[in-house]
Amino acid sequence: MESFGIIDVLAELDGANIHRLSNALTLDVGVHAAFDGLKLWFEEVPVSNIKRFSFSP
Amino acid sequence: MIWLTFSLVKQNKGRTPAPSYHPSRDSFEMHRKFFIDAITEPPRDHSTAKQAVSPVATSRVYVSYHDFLQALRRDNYRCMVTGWVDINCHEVMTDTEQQQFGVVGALLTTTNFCHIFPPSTNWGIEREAQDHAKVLSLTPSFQCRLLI
Repeated sequence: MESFGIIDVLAELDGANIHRLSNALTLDVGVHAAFDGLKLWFEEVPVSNIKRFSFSP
Repeated sequence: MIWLTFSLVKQNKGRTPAPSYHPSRDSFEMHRKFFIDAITEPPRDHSTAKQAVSPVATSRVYVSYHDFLQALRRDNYRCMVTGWVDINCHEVMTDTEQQQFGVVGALLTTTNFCHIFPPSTNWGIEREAQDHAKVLSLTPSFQCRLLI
């Protein structure tokens, strides 16, 4: 991830910080499974606070 | 790969106890306590925080009640994709609380605390001796991408 220049893992996700609120979201169990299976993802959209999500068949 | 499975369902051990006057009283009280904790202040010291640590996480990754409830609270007790309300929180809310949080008549489901970057992300990572600030801050890009 650091190679992609996204985050500094040690600075922001070290230890218990992996559970920080900004690294979490509440999901239905089925949606959670789809997210874990990379069948659902989020995409940034221009308007703030509005996100689009997509499903893979 | 399962990043985290976290449930409020209490795991029973040993023989099935005789039914009490309210068969689900323990579960109800546990959920009610959880919900009350969710709308009160977070633990202020380490000992209090340790008491809040959940023993019932169903994977090797343990998430404290405090973290889980804070996510639920921020997300208004709903799945952030479907909008369905967490059934455990819903069932212990009073009518007033259900109105307060806008969950009256909502579709219900079981929700998880879902990591965006999985817990394995920080396993076995050590900082290099000469490490420079080479990456962007997590918060702006991350929230921008995923939080609804």
